[in-house]
Amino acid sequence: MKLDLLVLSNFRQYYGDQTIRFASDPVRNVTVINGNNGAGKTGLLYALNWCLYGEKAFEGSIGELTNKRALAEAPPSSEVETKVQVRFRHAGIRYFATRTLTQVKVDQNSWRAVGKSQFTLMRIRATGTAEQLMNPDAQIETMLPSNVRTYFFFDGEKIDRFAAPGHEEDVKQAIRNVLQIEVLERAKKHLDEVAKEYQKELKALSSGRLQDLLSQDESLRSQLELTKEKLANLVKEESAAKRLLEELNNRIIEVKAVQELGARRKLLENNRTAKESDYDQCQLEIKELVSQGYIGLAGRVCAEASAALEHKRKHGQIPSGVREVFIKDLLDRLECVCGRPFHTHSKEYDHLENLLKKAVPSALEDLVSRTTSDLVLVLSKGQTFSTDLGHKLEKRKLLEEDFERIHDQLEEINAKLKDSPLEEVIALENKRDEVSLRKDDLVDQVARLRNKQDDLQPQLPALQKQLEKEKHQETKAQDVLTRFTLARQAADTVENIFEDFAASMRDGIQKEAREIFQSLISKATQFTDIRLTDDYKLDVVDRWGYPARPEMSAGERQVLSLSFIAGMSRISGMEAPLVMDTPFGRLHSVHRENIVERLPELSGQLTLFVQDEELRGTARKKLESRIGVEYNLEFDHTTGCTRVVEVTQ
Amino acid sequence: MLEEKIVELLKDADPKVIRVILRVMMIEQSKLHQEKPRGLNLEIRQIVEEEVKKA
Repeated sequence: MKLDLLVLSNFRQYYGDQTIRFASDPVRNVTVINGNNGAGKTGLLYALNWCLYGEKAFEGSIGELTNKRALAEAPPSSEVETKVQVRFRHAGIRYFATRTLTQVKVDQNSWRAVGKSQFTLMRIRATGTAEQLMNPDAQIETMLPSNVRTYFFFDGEKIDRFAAPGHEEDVKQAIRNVLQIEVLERAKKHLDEVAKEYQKELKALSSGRLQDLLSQDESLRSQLELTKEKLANLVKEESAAKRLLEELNNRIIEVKAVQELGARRKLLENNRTAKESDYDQCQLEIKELVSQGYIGLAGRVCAEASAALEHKRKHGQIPSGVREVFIKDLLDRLECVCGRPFHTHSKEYDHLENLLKKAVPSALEDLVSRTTSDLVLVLSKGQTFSTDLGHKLEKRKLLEEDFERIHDQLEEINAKLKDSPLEEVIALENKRDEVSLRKDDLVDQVARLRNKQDDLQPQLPALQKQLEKEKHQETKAQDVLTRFTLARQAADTVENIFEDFAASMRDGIQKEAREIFQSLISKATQFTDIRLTDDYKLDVVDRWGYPARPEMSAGERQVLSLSFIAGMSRISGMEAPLVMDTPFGRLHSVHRENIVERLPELSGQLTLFVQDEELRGTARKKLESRIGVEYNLEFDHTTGCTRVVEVTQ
Repeated sequence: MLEEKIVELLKDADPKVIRVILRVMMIEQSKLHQEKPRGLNLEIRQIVEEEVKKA
């Protein structure tokens, strides 16, 4: 930041508009503002702070901000505006910062502020147009943070606080503020908080259920695969057994002596297979019929409902089916159903109108009609239900009897064949029994495996659905995990570099402050070194290597503090003007001369508010070549106001 | 200069991490005057999420 212009309007003792243009030449970069005690030097420091940072810039009360002459001259109920405008450049861009406060004069002795002060920040484009920036306070914070302003805009008489005993905390705070250590600390703290937030979300998202479901899915699929494989083998074996059984049957038929028995058995077995199919079909039909059993049970209720409707119709509680629409149509056309025309107010017309009053509304009529036809349908179905079920049960009974009969006949044939005198037939029959047993066993196993497969198969889609749901959760968890990892890494990295950064900054400040101090202090051979310890204690070492700060005079401590501030400013690289109020009051002439000679090169822009005595003789001569602009603050005892007057050569 | 020093100390870190830190520092800098900045963590989350998306 480099200051261009300060415009005060009715601010404290500055009546009307008073303007200060700051020196901006790289060589003549010093602005000197001369003023005696009470002329308004500190008021200018307040103006800069108030404009850029508002009321929060002041710890205690600084008195009335509005010029009292302006308030006194204003008529009652009128408004008086106090305004400070700072025009400056930052990173090559021009800005106008303006703060205004409006006061209303209540009566001759009292006034009140209209709300809080208003702050605007304009960016001035190269074309000369202005753009008002949003959130101006935050913008100023990024240029010259409020917590470091006191190291750049300061009261010279109070500057020795960094070197005073027991002020380690001030030094530490200054380093933290100027060198962005606080920024790093806050970044670490907030990144840590965000990482913890992500971690909490992650915990809520990852239940470990996916792993469990995946295991279940794996196990189910493996069971199903095994079942299918077993089933395929058993089906093969079953087919082979059936083929072998067929072959054995044929071989028995080929033996002439038992040919007839063998053929009959085959026929009976085929017959039984066909009947088994009929039996299954019959069972299925019975099952379907029974599932509609309510129709049979509802028969009585439906008959009662139908009779009740009929009764109501007969007694005119449900009017005859003369439709409302039909009568309305006749009335509209003024024509009878037979085609004969009639007139309004005729006998026919009146008759139809009477009928219309009795006509059933279309919706009710439709409903009654639909219900009646539904009841008729249910009644007719109910009547056929019992008959149909009876027939099916009869058919099933007959089939069961057939099975019994076929079974007995087959047993008889089997017994005869086993009693055959022919060994070949006995051997074939034995083999047939063995294969038949095996086949029955296989049929049983296949059926059980098919049932198992039927049980397992539907579990897969259900499990798949759950898996999809969990995977979605897992994907979300994965996203949060990535974010958590990044936030955690960032927080940890800040923590890791923090100490190195702080140490590097301490070393840098120590080195710069040492060099500046040596060039400013008059007893350079006495005070040989400056040390900034790990716990931020600023100390001076004497020629014998002992700490010497307690022995320093107030002026020497001021030099030490100034060296520290200048060193800190250099290390920070912060582009900020140095504005010092009464900086040389307590200084020995040698220190004063050294400082005025050195200070302009330590800061890009220097503004000094001085009293007459502070800048005289050699000191003045040494600074002369660096002064770009100079003003006098002229206090008028009659008005109690100060005028800013430029000093011309 | 301070940013340069920080970048130098971060030279071995993942570029994503460096970007997150520098962006968070910029926000922190602009909110230094607020003791408890409102919505700051939300802004940091946004930065983290943007950098994750970029990767």
